[in-house]
Amino acid sequence: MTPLLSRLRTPPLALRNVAHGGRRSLAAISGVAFSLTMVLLQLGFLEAVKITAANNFEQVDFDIVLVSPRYEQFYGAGFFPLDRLTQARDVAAVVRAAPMYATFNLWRCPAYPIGQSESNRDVEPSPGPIERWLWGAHLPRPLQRRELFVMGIDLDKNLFHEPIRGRIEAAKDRLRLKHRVLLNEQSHPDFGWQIRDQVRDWELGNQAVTLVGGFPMLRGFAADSTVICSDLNFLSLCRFPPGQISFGFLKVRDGLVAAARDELKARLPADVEPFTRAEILARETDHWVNQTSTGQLFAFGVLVAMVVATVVVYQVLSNDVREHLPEYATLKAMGYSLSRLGRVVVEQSLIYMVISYVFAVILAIVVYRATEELAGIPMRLTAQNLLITLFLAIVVGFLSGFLSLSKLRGAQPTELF
Amino acid sequence: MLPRLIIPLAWRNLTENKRRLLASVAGTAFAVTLMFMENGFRHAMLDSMVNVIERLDGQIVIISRTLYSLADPYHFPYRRMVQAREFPEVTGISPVYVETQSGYWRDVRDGSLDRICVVGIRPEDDVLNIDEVKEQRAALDRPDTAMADALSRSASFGEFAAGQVSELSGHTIKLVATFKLGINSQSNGNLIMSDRNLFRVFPDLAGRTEGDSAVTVGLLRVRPGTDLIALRARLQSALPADVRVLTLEEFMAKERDFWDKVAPVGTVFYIGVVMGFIVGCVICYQVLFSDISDRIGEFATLKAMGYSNLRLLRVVVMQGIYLALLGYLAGLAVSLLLFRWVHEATGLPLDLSRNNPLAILGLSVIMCVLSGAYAARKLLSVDPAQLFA
Repeated sequence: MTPLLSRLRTPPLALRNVAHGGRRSLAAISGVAFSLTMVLLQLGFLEAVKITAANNFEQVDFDIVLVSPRYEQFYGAGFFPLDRLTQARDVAAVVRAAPMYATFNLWRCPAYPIGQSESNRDVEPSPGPIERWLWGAHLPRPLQRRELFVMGIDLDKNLFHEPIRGRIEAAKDRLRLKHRVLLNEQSHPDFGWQIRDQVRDWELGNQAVTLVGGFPMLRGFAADSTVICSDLNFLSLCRFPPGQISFGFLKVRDGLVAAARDELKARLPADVEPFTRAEILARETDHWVNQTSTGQLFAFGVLVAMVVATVVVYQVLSNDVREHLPEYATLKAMGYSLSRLGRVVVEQSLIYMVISYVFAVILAIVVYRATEELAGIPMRLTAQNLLITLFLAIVVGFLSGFLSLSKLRGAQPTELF
Repeated sequence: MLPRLIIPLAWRNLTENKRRLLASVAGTAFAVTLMFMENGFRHAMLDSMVNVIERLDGQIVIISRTLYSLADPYHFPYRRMVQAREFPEVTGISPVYVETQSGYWRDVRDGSLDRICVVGIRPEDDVLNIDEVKEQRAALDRPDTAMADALSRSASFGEFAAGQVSELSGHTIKLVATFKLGINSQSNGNLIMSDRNLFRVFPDLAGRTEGDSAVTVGLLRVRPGTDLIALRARLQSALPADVRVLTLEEFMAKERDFWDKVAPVGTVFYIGVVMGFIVGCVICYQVLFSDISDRIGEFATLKAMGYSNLRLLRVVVMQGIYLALLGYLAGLAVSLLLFRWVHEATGLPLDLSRNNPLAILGLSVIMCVLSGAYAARKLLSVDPAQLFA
């Protein structure tokens, strides 16, 4: 028998069922696609929490970080004596030790239009996310003071990765002058980066500062903006205990990270704790995902979305089998075995899932963009989340197809009439 | 006469096949649950941010001009409250001190430190509407005592109990009682102390004189029947610009507003609710569409019998409404269970009754009617001849 003939004898029924279904298939696919989008969206929210948690440390070039035992997360780092950094340099494997000072401080967010004074607008509700997105930086708003995260560094020990590193290097000489700062280009629009050319009177912690440039850094759930300045400017602008620092970032000779961490732990007093890069990232993620209610709520969101998707998919597929029941009954009468029919059903459900999955991913890209624009948090479609969703789709598709088989068993050719 | 004819038809269409009914209702119920959960998360987040403010007993508050959220408390000098006391309408003033950044509680189990939110009140002022605090206020008056929130995260602090002795930011503190308030996304636990004990732990708040002590929320009680808005405006113009005067409602709205619209978390849950609604519409459309497809012959017969398009549409829409109601009831039951579960797991105040259950009911009905009407387009072109196609 020629291959063509054999293919004619076993037509791809599953595919034809889908293709022939027209509107009905479309409805089924849209139902499944939207549920899968919901799963992707919830996974994206949770991912955003993880991304923002890890992002700060990823901008910094280090192997080991020293933090206070009270360290909670990047934005609540606490402080420890600067001397510990000097002591850390005594460990042979340490090639560089750079301090970072970090705390929250108040930023004078300029009014828009410029020059509008603080008024009775206090009690008016603030504009919603859609309004904010439409207006962007040109949303009319009163003058206000809001907190942002200030990082002070030793300009001679630039500890950032590109691109922030380059921005600091470029502005280095100006940053040495009194009260000169860099502002995050990705700040919340209220902080005024977009209208920087029209604003003169910047203030940080009630002192006049001059903006000498910007740097790109994601903003997360904890801070709506960030500022980088020199250590001396930091100490004069922010209230910080004297002789203390927030982070000590160490570079260590290759391959000696674990050994250096252990040696630091043994040598340094208990008022400071060393963590390797991997350890601190794990700790940071754990804090945001497991210890805060934000992370927990998003995790529940993922769970609920997955259950809903499962129910919807089962519903769609079992409906489909029921609709085709007379046809299956006919096939059965023609001598198709139950297992062969079963294969058709399962194949068909898998085809549905794959098509829906593709639509869901396209939809998710759109919804991710919208969320990023509206909420200002980083939404990334990671390979892991794509795979999780695909896996869920296929398992659920397979199971639902399988569960619908019981219906086939009872399919009687006589039901046709 | 007419409704009686239509209702049974829609109802019977829906309930004819029990297993199918179960599947349809389950689909709708899950869409309803999805909306409940996302909306519930959003409300829980917002409610938890105002849980302290909500329990304050007063009508007008004075806050620092800088304060934009109670999670990052900024303070103003107590003397502004004394100035406000000069107004004849003001019958009482109570300062409330909040410290969220530098309070660290030592877990008695392993000695680890965790940040905790500390609220300071004058034990002689009855300002917090929490039953346990009202009853045990006198005990706070003793030196180095505090009351702890039993709903605090036990993973961070262990289980709080009266009589426990531990350390708050380096000071030995004895817990005299527990109360139930609840945590939020910015803090994992709460302590209530007397102002004097608070000043001992956080001397920065005490200031050099009583007039300098750093108040976070200045609570004013006013004579009943006073026009709050007018008084607020007069107070605002009389007091220096370093403070802002708001009614308690305005203060609460301002705090919710910040977390709802300015902070990213609010927006994210909002998107979740909208997505839940869309998914719900798609599910209902699916259910009703396949039902109509199955019964196209019956509908064609009805049409041949003289039913108008409008009447057929009404049958489908009624079917959608029944589906919405059944799905809503089932979804409500599932949500109740889930709410309790999430509440126990996170300590956030997930309360169904504060979650506009009626608004969700409205949304469910809109969802089903919309998708029913859309699915019913097919009926407009239905031809009795199709019966024999």
